[in-house]
Amino acid sequence: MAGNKCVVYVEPGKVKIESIAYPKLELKEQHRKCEHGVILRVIATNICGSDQHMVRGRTTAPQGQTLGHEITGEVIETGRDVEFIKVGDIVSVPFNIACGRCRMCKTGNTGVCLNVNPARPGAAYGYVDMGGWVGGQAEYVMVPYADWNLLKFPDKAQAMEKIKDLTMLSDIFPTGYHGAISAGVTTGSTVYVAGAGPVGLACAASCQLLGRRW
Amino acid sequence: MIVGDINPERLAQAKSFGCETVDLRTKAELPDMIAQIVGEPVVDAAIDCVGFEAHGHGKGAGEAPATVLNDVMSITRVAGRVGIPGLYVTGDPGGVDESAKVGRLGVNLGLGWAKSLSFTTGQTPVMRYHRQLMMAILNDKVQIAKAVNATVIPLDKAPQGYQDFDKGAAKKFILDPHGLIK
Repeated sequence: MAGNKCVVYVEPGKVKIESIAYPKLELKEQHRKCEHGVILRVIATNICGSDQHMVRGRTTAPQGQTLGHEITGEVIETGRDVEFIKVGDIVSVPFNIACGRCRMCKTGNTGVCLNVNPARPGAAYGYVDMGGWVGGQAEYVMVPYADWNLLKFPDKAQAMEKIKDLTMLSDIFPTGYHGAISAGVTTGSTVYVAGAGPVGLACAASCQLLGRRW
Repeated sequence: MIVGDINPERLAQAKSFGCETVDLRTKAELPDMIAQIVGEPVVDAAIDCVGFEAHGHGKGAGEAPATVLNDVMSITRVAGRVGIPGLYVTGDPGGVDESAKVGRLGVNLGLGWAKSLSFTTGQTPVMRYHRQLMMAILNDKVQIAKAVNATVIPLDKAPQGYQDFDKGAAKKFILDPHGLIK
């Protein structure tokens, strides 16, 4: 079986590359197969400002915590129950893991899915308190509820050409856009964006798309 | 729109695609800086893209986790809405005081109430937006990689990427584990 290099948290200010297990289509804690999941060969996986909170020691992340929740990849294996996503598809993975079945998912609140984290609503890959899912700053990663979670890019060649833009769809672009939408930004708005890190810049670009005045 | 920060490199990045900027290291008050740009000390909409590790303004200002929330409330028009994609937590071992360690911050809710403001918190439900934004990218309606200064590095260089990002590099690091990105 192939290995799998992954970024892991060591101690405040320190991460390293470690060899972890190659992902399996299984839900370890539930002692069953994950037939609704897929394995991805990771094409692009971004470093997020929210990872920095863990790396600075500002969370209770334990040593060895795998990192990475901004994932874009190619499907290389599908579980028995995956109907619509196919091997070879290039896909964007929303950082929120969601089941697609609970009342929150059914109302579009996938950030607080009720079935993917025993500790609290909401889950993510490679993040403390977010359900124990393995991180995607790795060569390979498992994605559950694949038909529901994944966004397939329409054309592979076009996707690879624009991959540096499309990789932003897993988190920061929607996150910046959501900030703008939830603040009511629309045509002619005056807007103030606090913070010029990647999310702030993505939010500013979103405000441009939405037709702000200033 | 106007983007505020204390990091000149990041402000320059915002300017590069047409944002107005305010440098929060200066002594000027935020509403005055806003007024110089839009002609009044308020905006229609404000977004906190910083979160709980926020720093106060001015030289030598330390961490002040409620600063950004209070800032954006002060400059949002009455009955306006505040978007808060910036992350806040229920536990922070490095919090500035006992309250901050459990996520209780000195937010000026009285001001927010008096101004009839609304707040949106929480993780972004990505699925609500990703297809539309994909179409905007594929049809060249937005240059998001350029806006965030997307910078590709190999997976093995991730520790360096984390360090550079932590120091405030105006870059969005993309790890490329299989060397597939041109």
